[in-house]
Amino acid sequence: VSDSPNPAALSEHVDGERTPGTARAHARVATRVRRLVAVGALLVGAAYLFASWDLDVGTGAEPGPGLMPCVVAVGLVLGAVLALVERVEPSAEVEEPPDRSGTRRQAVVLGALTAYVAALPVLGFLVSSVLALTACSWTITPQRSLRRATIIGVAIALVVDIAFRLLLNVNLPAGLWDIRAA
Amino acid sequence: VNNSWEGLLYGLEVALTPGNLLAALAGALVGTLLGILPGVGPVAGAAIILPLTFTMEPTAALIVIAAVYYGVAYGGSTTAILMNIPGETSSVMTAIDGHQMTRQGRAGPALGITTIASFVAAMGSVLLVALATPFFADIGLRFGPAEFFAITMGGLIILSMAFNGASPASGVLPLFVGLGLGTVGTEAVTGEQRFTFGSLALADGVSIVSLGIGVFAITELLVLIGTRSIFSRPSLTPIRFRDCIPTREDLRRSAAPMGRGGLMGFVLGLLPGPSQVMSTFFSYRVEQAVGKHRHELGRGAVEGVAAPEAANNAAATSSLVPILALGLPFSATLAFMITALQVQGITPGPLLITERPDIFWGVIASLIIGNVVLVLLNLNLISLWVRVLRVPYDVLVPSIFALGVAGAFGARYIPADVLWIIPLAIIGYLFRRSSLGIVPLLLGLILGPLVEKHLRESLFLSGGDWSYLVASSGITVGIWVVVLAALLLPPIARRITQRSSTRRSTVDAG
Repeated sequence: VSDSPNPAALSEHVDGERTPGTARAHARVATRVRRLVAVGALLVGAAYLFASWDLDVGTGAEPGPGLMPCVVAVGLVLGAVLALVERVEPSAEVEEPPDRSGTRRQAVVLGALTAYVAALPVLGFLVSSVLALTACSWTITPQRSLRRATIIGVAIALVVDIAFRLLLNVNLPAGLWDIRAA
Repeated sequence: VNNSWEGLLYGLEVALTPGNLLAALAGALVGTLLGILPGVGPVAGAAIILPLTFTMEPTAALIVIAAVYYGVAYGGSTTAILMNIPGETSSVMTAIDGHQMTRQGRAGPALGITTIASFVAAMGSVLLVALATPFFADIGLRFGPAEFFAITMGGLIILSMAFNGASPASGVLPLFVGLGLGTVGTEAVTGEQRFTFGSLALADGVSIVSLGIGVFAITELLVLIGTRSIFSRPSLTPIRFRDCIPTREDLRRSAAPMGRGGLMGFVLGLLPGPSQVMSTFFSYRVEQAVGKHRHELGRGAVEGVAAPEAANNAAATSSLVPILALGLPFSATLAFMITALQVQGITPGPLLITERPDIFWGVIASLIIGNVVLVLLNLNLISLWVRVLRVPYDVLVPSIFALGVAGAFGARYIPADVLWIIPLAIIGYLFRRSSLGIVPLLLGLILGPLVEKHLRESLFLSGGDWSYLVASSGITVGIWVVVLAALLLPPIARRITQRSSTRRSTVDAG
């Protein structure tokens, strides 16, 4: 089963841009990120184990709510250790790391998204969408035009808000100051 | 319902009601759209669609998801052929010859053959599925907690390995993170709060929709934003319906590859693992070996489109058998079907065929309808789809963000579900960057609570005897033997081939 063809390796046929050298470099970066993830997972695994200490494991015949977390905690720590010692082999499946400007774009968009979900209960769906979507659009628009980004942000926010409220009967958060009521 | 034919007729009766027909149509449209849009994979698409199905009738909900699933397969090949960007991994093989045909000015026939091959293979596969499933149902009736535990846990183990090839960590770590996320919240049996730290926001647990949107949709977009191609915009020549009619020569050459590909896809679709991708790959290999025009493959041969497309759609169909008959999803998109059922209070599994024949046969029959709809949509709306492909990323990406946030909230009306998107997206992104699987994460979250339930029931039944989990019946023994074989055989086979190849190279050197 594990000998499944690697779809990304197949796509190498298609774009044909990668060389063995860059594949190795990507794998090295991926290995470094994986170590970081593994250390994080180890810490989370330890915290998880600590938090599940109070749960009742139950008896053999009447297993309690603590049984599954115990199994999961062991697996989590095992998986983290595996990830820590394992190297990422160079293959086309390994993600190409973004360059500096790419990382900056990702950071801005992720920041905008975080502000988006945090502001949702306060500002409501419409207002927070306009702000966050405009910021996202502006970050990735080739023209760097704030006017274009604002039009896109407002348009998408309105379309999604109307579609969810009217067509799907989903009441999206109105926020503390319901501007639709005003 | 006594046999497959009666079942299929009954299913058609269910599926042909106006509401269900509309569901198939809407699902096919949205699925094609999602398949065509680059950067929105089938899993992300299904995650966005899933919450919208919660208010529907169970049958309609499943029909929508099945139609989306199919539509994505159709749409993905359109992008592959026109732009050489496989919209999803299973259209990678199609891109090779399909895009060559586009370069030679034969994009129309390539799309036409794709549609015909997909349709023929999927229809054949539906009929075989209808014949095969009652057999599974008979086995399913003998399932108790230990059997269910074996099939869900064993399936999870195999699936987490299968999605990521040889590296154990890339399957094990995400799987247990998913299982761990599944334990957060109110526990099902005793109602005890686990890992909520007294917070009400955590009591409802991690929403599958949040995970689907965060780990699949947002992660995918973050990766895209990091690359330079975010600024590029495709330029495409318009295509009309008339251009898509293949020549008689195209059809004649495609017939045998379609049959071979379809059959291979059907068989592979029944197995766990990335069966759609594998089936396209193998069917292309078979054409390279036995095809009459094999020397033309890779340079725009119509067989190179017909075979993998037939295989892909046949596999997509037959992989519905394990989910409908056993409750075991073999792919992430299908995992959402399990959720759609659970939300409706229906336990997916072997009893579904006998207890809810309307759902079971309705979904099977809807596949026939979905395919007919897709054949009509795909070619008739081809000029629209080409225009969709030209949507610039600075419009597409914010749209998906808005849909994701609205969908995550609308699924359960729990504000915390929206907040979860961000940490889950970060986890997904870091996993992608470090070549760890993200599909096991989703499967762990969905199947984890089921594993726990079956485990506790089994132990309760056996009075705490753990050996009951393996030795309770011939079925459990059989399942665990298969799981063990699936885990042990590939590394052994690899070692043997490695040894023989090193021996050959030393002989050559000497």
